[in-house]
Amino acid sequence: MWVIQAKGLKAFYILHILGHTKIVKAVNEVDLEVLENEIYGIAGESGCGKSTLLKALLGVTIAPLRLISGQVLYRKDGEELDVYALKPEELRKLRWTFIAYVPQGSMSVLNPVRRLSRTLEDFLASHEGLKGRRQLMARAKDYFHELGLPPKILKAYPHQLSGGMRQRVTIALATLLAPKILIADEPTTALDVVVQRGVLQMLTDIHRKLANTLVLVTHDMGVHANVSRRLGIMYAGKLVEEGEVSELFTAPLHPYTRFLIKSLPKLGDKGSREGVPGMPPSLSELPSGCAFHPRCPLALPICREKEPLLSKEKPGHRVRCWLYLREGP
Amino acid sequence: MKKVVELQNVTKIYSVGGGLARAKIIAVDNVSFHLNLGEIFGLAGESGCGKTTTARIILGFEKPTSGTVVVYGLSPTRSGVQARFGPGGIQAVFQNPFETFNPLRLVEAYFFETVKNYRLAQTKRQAAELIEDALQAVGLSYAEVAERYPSEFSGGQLQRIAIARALLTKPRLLIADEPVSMVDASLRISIVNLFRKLRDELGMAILYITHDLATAYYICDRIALMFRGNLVEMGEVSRVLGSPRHPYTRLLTESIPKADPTRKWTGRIALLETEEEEYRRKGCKFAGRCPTVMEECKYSVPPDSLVDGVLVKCFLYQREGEKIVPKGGDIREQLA
Repeated sequence: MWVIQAKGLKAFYILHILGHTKIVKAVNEVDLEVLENEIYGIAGESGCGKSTLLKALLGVTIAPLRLISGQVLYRKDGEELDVYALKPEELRKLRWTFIAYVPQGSMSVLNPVRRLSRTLEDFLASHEGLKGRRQLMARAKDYFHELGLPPKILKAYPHQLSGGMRQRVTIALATLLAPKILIADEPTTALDVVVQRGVLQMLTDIHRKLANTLVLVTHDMGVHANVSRRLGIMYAGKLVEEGEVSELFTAPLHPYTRFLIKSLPKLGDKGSREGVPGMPPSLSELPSGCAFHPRCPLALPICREKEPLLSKEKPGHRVRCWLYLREGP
Repeated sequence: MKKVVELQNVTKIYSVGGGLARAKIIAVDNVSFHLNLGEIFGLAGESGCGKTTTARIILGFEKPTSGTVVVYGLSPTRSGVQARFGPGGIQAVFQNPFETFNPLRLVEAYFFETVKNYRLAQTKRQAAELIEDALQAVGLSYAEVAERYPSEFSGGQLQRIAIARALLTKPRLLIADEPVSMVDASLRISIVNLFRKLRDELGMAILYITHDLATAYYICDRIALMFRGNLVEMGEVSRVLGSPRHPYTRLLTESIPKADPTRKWTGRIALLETEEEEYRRKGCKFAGRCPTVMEECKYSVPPDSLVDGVLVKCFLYQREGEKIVPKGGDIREQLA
């Protein structure tokens, strides 16, 4: 059963520069369902619209980002909520109790001139009011302890902690109110492998403990192979392939996905590897037809003219590519 | 093989805090290694292990507290920094290509400036030829770069432009400090392939500093692993990363997320609290997280031993007569 559903979601940045209007098509007709209690991964190059998709899913479209069309639904206690029809106050109440977000670069979100305990108190006061704060503070300490964060760090200032520790603290903060959905945007990108593993270990611990849904965005395919259960590949604002991780890695369908997986160097293999040829397209000047066709070695004449649809190739495996559309244009 | 640079017992000590809380941090602790012409030497380890400090010492940005750095084959007519960075000397590329370039300056200005500073050409036409050659070497051309600003390029392209600029002075050693960590995974491989090409075609030496062991394995000839200022393991890359001897190397290689859903991580890892605590350890700095820690590791610094041609700094290996054997059987069995 899905907990987040996006239908024909389109969110563009509309910029007015010196009398010209520039439209950046960051999220372009995305249809997806995130299921209950799963880890859903989203992968793609920088600038492909991953972070904007998350914003759109969270219902945070602040100018110049605008929702053009489409719908985002949450399922909360068996009830379907249309995110863009909710009042701001209702949406605010959902945040951190139903859906929480760990933004990119969240290591730097902590106030540098306050001890962590103060940040934590502020956070609790704004969500639970001043009355319940004391009690919750004690619960928060227990929660930190359970996650393996030493209680003494609450007395520390952010700069006294390493990047990995700060990242773990922000994840702990985001999950303090036991949200049903946690969205993490590149939570381990600036970290090295051992610390990365520690942070992912903590994310999966929380996922198991709260039995919630985790949406994990990263361009690191190795992380997806280890952590995610289903994976969506984004290219130029669109979902180009989606399926179970085990299937995507063994039998990728889209030429772009194949490149992503083939180009990864492995320990113990010095054989020469090639990256994706060419450069990612600009989201404000997309190529005609399939946006990947200028870089695609298998491009057909039709790829230049018409855009393929996201088709269901096998049960649970969708792909947006002319190579697989049997019915033809 | 011709050495390009050699570090002899280099130590760098920083003091942190003031007054009574003053403490010393040994950022680089008695490190010795050398680089040969025509090889890619990897220097790997997690953030805060001293790899960037080591690079800065080689570049002359920091003075070592003790020990010496010998740079071979410098022009005798120049001295100091001029000699180090002069034609045929050392060049560097850094981690974040977006910070390397001034956003308000044309990219080509950096090229003309380098040509001018080093007096590499007499005429503008000669300069343009040199620049074209350097850009061709990284798979770009002057036409693609001319009259454009840094914001018009992707991270991967900018990193290549930074490398092309470094090539203008025909360096014998290129220091690349985390050159791919800010570049997308799909474009990373094209940058590392470029380093391979520079080594094979121009015979350059490259010091590849990284925490990404998968790309290090892919391009390096030899590798050294650093942990909290110490060189813990050094040798041929396939030996070091193929069958790691030091428990820290083992932890690192195991923690690389493999792009294979059938081989996920197993087991849990212990995490450090603060870097400072580890730097202050008396014995082996890894003792706090080591799965095979012994009593002596906590109090005394392990010696360097040579096992199968690989330098290892660990008590698990001890000298018995002339041969070095792992203590209490094979370490790989102990760690498994």
